[in-house]
Amino acid sequence: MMKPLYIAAFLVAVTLTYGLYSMKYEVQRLESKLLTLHSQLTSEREATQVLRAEWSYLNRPERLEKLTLRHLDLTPVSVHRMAAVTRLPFRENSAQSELHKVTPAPNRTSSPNGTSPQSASETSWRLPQTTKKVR
Amino acid sequence: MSNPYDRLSEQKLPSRIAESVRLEGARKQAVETGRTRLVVVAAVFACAFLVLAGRLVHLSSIGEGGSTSLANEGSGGLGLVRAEILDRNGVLLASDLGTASLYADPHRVLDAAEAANQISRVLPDIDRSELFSKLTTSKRFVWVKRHLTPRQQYVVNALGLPGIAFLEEQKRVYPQGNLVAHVVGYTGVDNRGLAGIEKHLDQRLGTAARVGSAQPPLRLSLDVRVQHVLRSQLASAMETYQAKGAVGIILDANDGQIVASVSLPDFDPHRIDQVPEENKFNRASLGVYEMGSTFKIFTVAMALELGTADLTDSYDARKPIRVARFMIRDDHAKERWLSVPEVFIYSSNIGAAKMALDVGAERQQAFLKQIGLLQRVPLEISEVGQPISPNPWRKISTMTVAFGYGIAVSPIQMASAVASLVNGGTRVMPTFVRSRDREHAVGERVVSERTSRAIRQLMRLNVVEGTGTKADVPGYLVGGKTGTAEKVGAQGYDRRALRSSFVGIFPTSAPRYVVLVMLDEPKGTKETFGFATAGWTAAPIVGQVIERASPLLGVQIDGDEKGQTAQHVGISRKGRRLASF
Repeated sequence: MMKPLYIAAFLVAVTLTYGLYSMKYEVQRLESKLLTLHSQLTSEREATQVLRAEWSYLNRPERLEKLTLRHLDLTPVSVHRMAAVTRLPFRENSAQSELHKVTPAPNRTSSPNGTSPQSASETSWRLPQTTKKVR
Repeated sequence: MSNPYDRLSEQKLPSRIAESVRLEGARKQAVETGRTRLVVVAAVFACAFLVLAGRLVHLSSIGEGGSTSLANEGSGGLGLVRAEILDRNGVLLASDLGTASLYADPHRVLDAAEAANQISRVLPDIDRSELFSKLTTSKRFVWVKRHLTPRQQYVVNALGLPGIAFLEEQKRVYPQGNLVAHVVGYTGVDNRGLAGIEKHLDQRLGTAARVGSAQPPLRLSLDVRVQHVLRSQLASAMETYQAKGAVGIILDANDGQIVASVSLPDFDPHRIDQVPEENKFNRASLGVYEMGSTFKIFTVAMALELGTADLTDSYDARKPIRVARFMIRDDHAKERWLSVPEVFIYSSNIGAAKMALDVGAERQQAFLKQIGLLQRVPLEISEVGQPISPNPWRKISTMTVAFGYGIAVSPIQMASAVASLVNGGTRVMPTFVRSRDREHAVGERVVSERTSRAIRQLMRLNVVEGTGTKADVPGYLVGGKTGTAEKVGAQGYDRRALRSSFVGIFPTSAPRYVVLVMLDEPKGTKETFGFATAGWTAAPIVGQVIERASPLLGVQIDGDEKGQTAQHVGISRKGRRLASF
């Protein structure tokens, strides 16, 4: 009458042993994979570090300036080519054909009560400060 | 023997035991002993198996874990990883790179002479006899060469010498080179900070065992683009005027963050052992100088703040002042009464001295201390100079300090004191580290809004009409003050050796930045008609820097047109209005 119990116990033991071993090998496999990933991560990080340093080195303002002067038709923006948005002229009457009429802009600093572009209604176009200021 | 079990066994068992003993005798006794021993042994084995089973379950379910972490640490090598240093926009200023270093274990080297021969052949900077003596010592570890290039590593590896091996180390690299060398500083061969931010914030930058576990990057207030503009303009000016050195500082007028700080000549932080000491000297923060007339900003602010003078008051500047054996005279002598604005824009030493005398020595000292000119500035770099002030503070000191002689301060100190006066009157503490909460922090009040406004007007007036006209950039409302100081030579002050400086603010209506430029011993050129004074040499640099840097700094051109008309201040003399602009 004890026989079925013995057989059952034996089967359980075999199953458990197999389970334990397969589990063990699975864990070992995963651990070695983790290790590889960790070392890969480290080397990737080191590579990023090198690339970032190189990027910063190649983007030195000094070098960019030299390259720009050699290869591009660009020069630093001078103050005479800049203006605030509020100084941009408005097209007052597009029906008038005097589109190319250019009125000299008022001197920027020496006229404290200078006319603002919007109030000058007799001109159709008014260019921002393109003329060099005479001192 | 009083427990129930004992009593029970005594009642039931004696007859059976007595029977068997009677039946088997001494032999049965021996079998009984053997049986007991078996039970004991079985129990011990059962315990041992239980322990084993428990350990098995423990190992397979929880695991040791020790071996993996050990393996990970191995790849970091010996070097210590420091935190990166970035500029305000995240551009890399300093970082660590892994390099290979060559070492030897002399016990395992087979033929020291041959090894020394071969290594010195592929690495020419290594002395053969020195290496030979290293390889014959009784130590177990000697460095042969630190930080090899990958090519050198390959060549040495190809020699295949026993006892010679590589160790991975970290090396600090500075991709921006000379540009920020004085601020960032440099590290030694063991990756420890030796100068600048690297030294002062060594703890913060830290030391970690491997890449990835380093401290978070440190973000500085510098902007490499603005720094480059300032440096290139200063470098070309240094060449034009054959100056010995140059300093440039751009400082946020409201929160004290230093956007650019240049000291020329500078150095390459990678070749620190070949740099002359003079180049390592940070003129912007460590050097203290007599600033000359730029100090009149403080004198006028002090007089206005304490109420001893008004913008409409005037001073007698007809004759030089004679005090003890000293003579105070004006460089651009007008020989008449000068109003306060005139004293400022014609840079009258006589007027400034009299203005300071009205205030008095004690209140003058207190005022200068309040704007931080008499004590060291707390900065995040290790090179900070101690200002030199007169001791004891005599009457003559009061007069000379009024126009910037007899007191020496560092340029960064100067720039932050000016910022404190023009930003509305609150104290500005300079800093190299970017921090967002500083932007809203308001320092202690040093002068009133009204005084601050008057100083801004005077500085603007000086650029429109006075000595600083060459610093003007149309649309940016530049204000400023020139300062030409004679350097101390062998026989007192030397008239030919000058230190020309200009401190500018822009836009004057609501200053965003303070720009300070100083040239050490500039020589006049044909274009400047032989003048080496600040109005001819330093002022134009400030103008050029502002023109190039303000788009980068986000200052709009014509940003405040209303402010422009509000900046006008009258030059009046004895109540009569002479001019207004």
